[in-house]
Amino acid sequence: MEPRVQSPATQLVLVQAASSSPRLREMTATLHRPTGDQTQALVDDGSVAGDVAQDGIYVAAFTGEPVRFVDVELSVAGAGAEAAYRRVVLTPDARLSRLSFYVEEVDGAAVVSRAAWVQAHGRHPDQGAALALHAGLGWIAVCVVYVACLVALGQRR
Amino acid sequence: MTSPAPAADAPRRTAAPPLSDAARTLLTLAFYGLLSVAFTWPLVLSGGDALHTRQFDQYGVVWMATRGVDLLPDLVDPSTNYPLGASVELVDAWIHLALAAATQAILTPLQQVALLVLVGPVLTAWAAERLAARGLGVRFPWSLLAGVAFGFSGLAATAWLEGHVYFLLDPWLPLLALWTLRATSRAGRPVHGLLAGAAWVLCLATTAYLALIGALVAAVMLLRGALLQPDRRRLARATAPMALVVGVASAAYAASFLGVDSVEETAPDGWVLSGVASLGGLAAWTPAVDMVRNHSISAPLGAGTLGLVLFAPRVLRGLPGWRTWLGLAVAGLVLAFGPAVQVGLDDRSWAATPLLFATDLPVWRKVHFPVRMMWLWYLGGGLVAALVADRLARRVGGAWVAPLFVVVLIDALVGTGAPLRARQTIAATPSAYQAAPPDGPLLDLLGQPPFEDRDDDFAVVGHLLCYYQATHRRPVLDPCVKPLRENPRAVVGREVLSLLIEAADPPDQHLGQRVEAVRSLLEALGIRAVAVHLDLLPNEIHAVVLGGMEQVAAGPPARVSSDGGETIALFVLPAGAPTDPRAAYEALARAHRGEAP
Repeated sequence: MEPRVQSPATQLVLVQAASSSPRLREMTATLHRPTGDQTQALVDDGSVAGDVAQDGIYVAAFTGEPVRFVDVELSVAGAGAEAAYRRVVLTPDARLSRLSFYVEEVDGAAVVSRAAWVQAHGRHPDQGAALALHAGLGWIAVCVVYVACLVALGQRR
Repeated sequence: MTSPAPAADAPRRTAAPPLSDAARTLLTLAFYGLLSVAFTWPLVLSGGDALHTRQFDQYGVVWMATRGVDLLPDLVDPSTNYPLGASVELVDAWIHLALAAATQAILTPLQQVALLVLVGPVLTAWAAERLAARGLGVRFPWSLLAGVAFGFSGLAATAWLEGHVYFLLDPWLPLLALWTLRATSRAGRPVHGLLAGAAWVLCLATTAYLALIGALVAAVMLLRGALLQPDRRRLARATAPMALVVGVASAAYAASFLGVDSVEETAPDGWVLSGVASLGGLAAWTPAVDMVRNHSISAPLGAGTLGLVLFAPRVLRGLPGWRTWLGLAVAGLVLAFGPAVQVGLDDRSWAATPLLFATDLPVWRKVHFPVRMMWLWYLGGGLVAALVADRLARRVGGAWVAPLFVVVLIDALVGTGAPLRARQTIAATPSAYQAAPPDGPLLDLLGQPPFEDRDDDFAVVGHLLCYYQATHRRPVLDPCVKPLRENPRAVVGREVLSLLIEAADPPDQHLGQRVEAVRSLLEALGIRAVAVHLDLLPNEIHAVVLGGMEQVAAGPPARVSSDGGETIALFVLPAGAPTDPRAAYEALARAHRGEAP
């Protein structure tokens, strides 16, 4: 049979970044598209849908036709010089794609890196992974205790 | 294997009237069916018209579903890896290929894949449930726990989210175990051995990893049978057909597959580390796993399964058979770590394991993803867990044990994160391709300087271009059957882009010669169309590449499209008379490799 497909009409690309340094929170995102560049400042004032004001996660929202890749540039002003990240990256979802970045100050200079997710209040993304790991270990402990109780109950009866 | 329950394990309460086999089967399929819908949510809503996944292997699976019928007769695919063509002997998923060929007339490729994702885990779980019930004597509904552990595991989520969805249809491994148990029992007959052999062949036809696991399971079962079965002649008669079938299939597989030079066989040592289980990952899925080198590998043990397995020695004392499965489960866990165990979350902390020595063995270098040995943990651990739950239910009453179903459902849906991690990717193919001559080979032109496919985000490109080919059907240069060490699209594309960029350099006095060189190369290769992927070329060189291609094609692009998730300018080239495209490509490839002409 001939392929039949459904695709969303529009795509929201959310560029979001957290910074560990108070001096490095002036950020600008640019999407370089064949049809022209789009630039926005990242904000944390709640004005972007879904953004929680003052939580330390800065966001810029771009809406357009769904794309598979986007040439994204994140510029950070401050710390005496401007640093930038630029690369063609995959947009993982045809409806809503979050491109996450983490900004930190190393030897007085800004360093921008891609991240799996962003954490509020400038916490490192690895802290989120550690939280998930601790939750998993806690859940295992609960299950082991539950089965231990069943075993003990079985022996008493 | 089945044994009467000890007196102490007699049911404490008057049991409800037993369910008929049909009712039990219906309940089992309904339970696993609903769980499959939740596990793969929101796939069921798509009607098979959208792609729900996380990484890119599903592009290749859809390509295979489209090409199934065309590939099967002569096992050669001339329309990819052009001009060399590709041998279908490289395929590792024959079951999927056969299913695709059988359903091609009634289902679209996306529907085939969606159906496989939805129905595969149900049949896989059902087979594991049957093994628990008939092989180990676990009562319903506790036998369902074995199916959940095996069919809806972290590796099942990985298979779906990475895209190699043929792993999800694996009732063969539990059936192999069940028939091997029968063949090695005192009532073993040759037909049991024959069925076990057939089940192993189906494992092999699903993927070589399952064949490896199946061989381990069968070998352990045979050894156990040899130790316990007093009638050795009966054992030999019952298992001889299995040995014959497995031997013939193994020889055929080794002859056709093991000599082929694919990317995996030439992978550097570092590659192995990307496919092993991590210590932290055994506890839970974390969002970071979907960002590691274009993979989504997550293999949590399952808290419910682990909790029950830990108490197996205490609860199952005196019962036969379960130690074999516990041993197999632990063996799967150990093998999953491969040569080094990742001890931290940062993808940089590794410790060598005793299996490090095995990396020098040729066979081990083909085990590219040792983490897939965890299927053995999910099967063996799930069986032992179901047996423990059954025994506990006999002792304390089913009501106390019933919350285990909530536990395993949380493990399947939250612990693996399957429904939380899926993304809907763009399913449409750019319309510009339709402007290309119907039968002419097509070159996809893209790349980041220095035009190597090394960047993580570019690893998807080869799979995506094959996915496009499933729709536009023109011969392409990417190898779509399996990644090869040398990709003709990358070799030719690099040469073309280099010539075009050098030609545009103002001091270059040989502009005409370089444009002519591109034209001659494409003509010698028989290329009839060039698709310039503007999203995948730096903005700074768009004008250069488009201007150069206009000179090469002696005109503007035949079509420019921005649908299907990409902006593509398609140039049609005049029909030439290529004498020997293969020789022309091989000469270019030799030059790129730095070899003498």
